[in-house]
Amino acid sequence: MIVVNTETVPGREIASVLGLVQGNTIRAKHLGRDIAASFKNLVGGEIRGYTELLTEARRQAIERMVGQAAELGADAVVNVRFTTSAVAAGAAELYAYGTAVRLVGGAAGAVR
Amino acid sequence: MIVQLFDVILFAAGLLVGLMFGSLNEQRHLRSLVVREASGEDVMLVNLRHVTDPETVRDAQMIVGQVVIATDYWKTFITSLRRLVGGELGAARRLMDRARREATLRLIEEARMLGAGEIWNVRYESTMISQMRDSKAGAMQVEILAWGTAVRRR
Repeated sequence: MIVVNTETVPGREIASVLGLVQGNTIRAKHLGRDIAASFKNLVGGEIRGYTELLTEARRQAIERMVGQAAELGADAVVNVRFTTSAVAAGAAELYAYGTAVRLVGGAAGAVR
Repeated sequence: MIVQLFDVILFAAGLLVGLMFGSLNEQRHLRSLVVREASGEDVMLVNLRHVTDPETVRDAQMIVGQVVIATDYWKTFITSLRRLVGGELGAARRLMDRARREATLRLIEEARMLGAGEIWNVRYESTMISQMRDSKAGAMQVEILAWGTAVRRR
């Protein structure tokens, strides 16, 4: 599956648009990471625990989005966007969405 | 009474630790940013949605750079004071700036790993993580997500 956030797959032609596909996940932080985070609130700097948590969550959201696209028989997902929201105390939602498309020549088709 | 005194001492200690290590951490991060930014000039970032000269494109792939960063206790305190009188929140601005630069560098590193020289349609998304906490101290924690499409040319 080709995943891009440009409006088309550069160098390729879109054969048909299949519609919006999306994936999301809501993750809660755990206590150990929270302790490290409150320490970082004291001295400042990157909170690696949270970066990892959100990186993992984002990966899963993309995976679910790509899964939906595969079900539709898509070759690519274009114009992918993200939003993150803090839904409840200690939990964050990561949401990825894009448009599933079929390409002229299929996923592995030759570049024009 | 003793509990209140303990609270005050804890607060003062927090401010002191924040003041000492916070600025050190910030300076160290800024130095590292400057060094890495100087070596990132081989990758071009564009926020246009349409890739020019599509006929020379070999392949394209979405990439992501992400960071969660916090400011220190001292700056959080200063910012809360500053909020009372209004004006520019310098500490908060520097925090956002550092986070965005870090996320951008991670995006560039991703592109370089793919051997791509260009990143198209670069976008940024930010979330104040501090809202996730019970945030009684109003500590500033921010997540920056940068993403774009890495393009390799033939």
